[in-house]
Amino acid sequence: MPLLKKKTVVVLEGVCGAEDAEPLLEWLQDRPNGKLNLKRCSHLHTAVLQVLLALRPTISADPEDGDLRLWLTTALGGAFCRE
Amino acid sequence: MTGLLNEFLTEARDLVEATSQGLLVLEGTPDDPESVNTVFRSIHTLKGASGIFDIAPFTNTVHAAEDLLDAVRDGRVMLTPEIVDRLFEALDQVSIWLENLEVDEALSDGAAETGRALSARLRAFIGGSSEGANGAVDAVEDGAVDGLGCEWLATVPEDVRRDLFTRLSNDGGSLVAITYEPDESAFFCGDDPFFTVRQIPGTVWAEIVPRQSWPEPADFDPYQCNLCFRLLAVSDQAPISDMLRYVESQSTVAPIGAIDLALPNGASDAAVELEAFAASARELIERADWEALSAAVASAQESAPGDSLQASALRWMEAALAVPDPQAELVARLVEVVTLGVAPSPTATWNNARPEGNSSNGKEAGGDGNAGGMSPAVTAARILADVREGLALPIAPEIWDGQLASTSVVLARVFSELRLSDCADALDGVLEAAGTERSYAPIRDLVGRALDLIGADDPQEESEAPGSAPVDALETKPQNGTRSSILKVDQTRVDTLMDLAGELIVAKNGLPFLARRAEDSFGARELAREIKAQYEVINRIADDFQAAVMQVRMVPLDQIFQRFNRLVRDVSRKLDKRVKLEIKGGDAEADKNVAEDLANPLVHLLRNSVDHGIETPEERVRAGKPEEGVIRLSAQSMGDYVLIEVADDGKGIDPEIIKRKAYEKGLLDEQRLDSIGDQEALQYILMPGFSTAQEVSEFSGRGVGMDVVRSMVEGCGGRISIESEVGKGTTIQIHLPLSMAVSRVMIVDVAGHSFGISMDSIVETVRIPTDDIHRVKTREAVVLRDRLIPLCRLAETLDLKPNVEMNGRSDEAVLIVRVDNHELGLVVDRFHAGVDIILKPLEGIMAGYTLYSGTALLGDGSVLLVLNLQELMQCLS
Repeated sequence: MPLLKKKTVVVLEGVCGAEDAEPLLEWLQDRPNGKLNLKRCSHLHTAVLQVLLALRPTISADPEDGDLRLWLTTALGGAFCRE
Repeated sequence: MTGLLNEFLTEARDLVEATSQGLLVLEGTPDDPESVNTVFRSIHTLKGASGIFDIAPFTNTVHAAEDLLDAVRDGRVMLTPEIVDRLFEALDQVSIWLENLEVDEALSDGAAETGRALSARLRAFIGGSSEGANGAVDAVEDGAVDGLGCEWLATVPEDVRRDLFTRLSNDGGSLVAITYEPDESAFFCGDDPFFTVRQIPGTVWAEIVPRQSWPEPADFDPYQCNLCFRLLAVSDQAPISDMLRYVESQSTVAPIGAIDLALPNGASDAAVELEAFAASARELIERADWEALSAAVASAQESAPGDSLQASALRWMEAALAVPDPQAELVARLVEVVTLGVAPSPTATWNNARPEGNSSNGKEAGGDGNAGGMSPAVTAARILADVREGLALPIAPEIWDGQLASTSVVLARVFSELRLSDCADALDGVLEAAGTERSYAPIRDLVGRALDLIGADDPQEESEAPGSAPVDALETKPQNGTRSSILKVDQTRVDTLMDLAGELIVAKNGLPFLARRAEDSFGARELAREIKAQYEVINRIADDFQAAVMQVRMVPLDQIFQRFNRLVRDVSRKLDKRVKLEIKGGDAEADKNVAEDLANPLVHLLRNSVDHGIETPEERVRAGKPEEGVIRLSAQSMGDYVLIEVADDGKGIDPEIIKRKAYEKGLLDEQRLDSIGDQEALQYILMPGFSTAQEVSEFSGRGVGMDVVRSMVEGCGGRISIESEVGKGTTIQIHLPLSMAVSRVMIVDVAGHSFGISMDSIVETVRIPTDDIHRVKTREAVVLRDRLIPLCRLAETLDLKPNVEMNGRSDEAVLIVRVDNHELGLVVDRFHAGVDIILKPLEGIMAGYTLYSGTALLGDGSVLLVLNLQELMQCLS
């Protein structure tokens, strides 16, 4: 179950597919201050990515996966910079 | 192989053929809009159909051809013979790929390369060179909505670009700029653009931006894709294009040279004073004194504020000079920027080909296969499809007539709009038929034909065609010029019908005997009469049936003839001769197999005509003829055979030369050399052993002499002859029997075996007293009514053990036959009756026994061997 919803944090684990976009959006709409834990996330479907870009929720934990971290940073407006 | 691929192959081959034909017509009438449209439509349909399969190089090549034809259609490009050559080149490659698909279910390995090269050559005609800034020949793939795909290059941070510039200039490598703007509905097609982008290898820079600003969370729909992905990757273009091949219409993959990265940006600072620098810089560039120039740049940088345009240009100069072999042009351009304080527009340094306002741009969404850019035609096609569907629905009888009337108005207008003159002409007749039969079926068939003609993708059409009556296949002959057949049937099924028809004919022949037996052996006169009456009925039906089946196999010779337009065009272009091929009487019909077998000899004859018959334009003018030679290929239906002629107005054949050659080759003796007539001498060209090395050229010769053509024609059961006049031209005539008809043979007994001999050859049957037989050396002959007729004892000739009881007879049974104007007497044991048979040629390993022209199945189930008298004659002489 890629979306593990807790009280103030939702944990995204593994590969989050298109079907996770809607639940995630609803969760964030109900909790404007909700946080995302992406530590063990390896990929986000573009639809899920769009939720992040449109709502700009706080990310409590960055992905451990270096490649995803790089792309996420870029998507969120940072520079594309391979370390 | 899947059924879908099978269908695609058939359809694709038809479309390629239609396109080829259309191109030839178009070449002759380049300004005719209907010709262009015809060609465009078939290519467009081909592109759409190929999209279902994973054959991107195929689709892309066809797409390039389509774009080129679109440009011709819009008048942006003039059609030239070179363009037509290129299009044919592409079509040839497409045909090869179709063969690959048939055998391997995949394209050949190198297909992507070949396809790209072909596409580039085709697109090169559409304006703008197809050379990349660093000399890459690859053309830009179809642009995304903005058409260029790389205007954002200047927005990539300068240091990123500079690093890349340095890296590329020092280490080499290829850089591609990728723009990917997925459709809004991309997710519903199963795409995950983010995933795709993450797979791209060699990414050195990327940006993900929203196309429109994000709406409020309450209004936000995550399933509408609103992103644009831009990447710079160090990689060859090919693997990335391949990765993005399914989203080709939403993305651009453009190779970039280092030089394209050198875009200074920033605001011009008017306060900067660098005239002196510019002057000395220009001089240093002339002298290619890069060291001094670097120093000059370094000191100039102190005068320009870091964020100014000038400073940026100076930094670029620094980078440009730091690489091995600095490019003078780039450096000079940067100097201009410094002096003028004007940034170059991104397009100025961008050299890649830009597809100019492609009509296919952005219209690919959803790939619904409609003829984009032809709205009236699209609408018309939809109307036709709807009419057809509507007519299939059940309807109340009261409004039947009303619907007929309204449909007729609609169809008349649509046909006129689409310029389907054939359909328009047929409309009245069809409406009348519909009214009489109280059925819409004729109208639906006409609409179906119209849809076929405009190449609309109508899924209904496919499922309709097989169902829409086998009856139509017999009654409706293919239209003149329309190559689509109504029913596509596997030929083996028709062959089976033919066999059954033949067996039926033979079987029915047993009935008269039964009738006689009933009368003679059983005294049942009444029964005998009834059997005979029934036999008459069955006889008539069987004959009609056989005739009908043979009709199914008849095809208009046009199918074969139309292929030759391309042949004559290509051969005459290669030989620098101007030749026009006129085709007449293509609607004459022949059995499909016979027609196909005819294609080969005709190819040789046509090549000969162009190569040896038609003179060069200069020679023709000198001879007082028009520059353009004419070859007329005609067919004429003459009852049960077809007369085909290949006539050219070239230099003709000199009978004297032929006579001499024949004499040299021992085919003519001295006496005949003097007495033989000119026209008769020409026939010697057809003799085996006649063609000489002198006739070998790239096209004719190589062992393909006229004698091979003759045997090919005779293999079809035909006859060939030549007429010629020196200086005027040559005409070759081929008599072709129409089909494997029922033939009549006489059965003879020879040494206990039965053989059949064609009635056509039989002159008479006689009994000759043994004493009247003359012996001359080893040969026997008989005098019959003042003619000396050689005799042939079949038993001996066929190496059969003669029937012992035949010895010591007082007379012999002799069958006098005539073959090719020579008479021969065949000595047999006994004559029998004549029978109707269906002659089947020997097949497989038996085909080598040329002494027999075939076999036939007799009414009692036995097999009859039929002698080939021509072969027999040859063996005996």
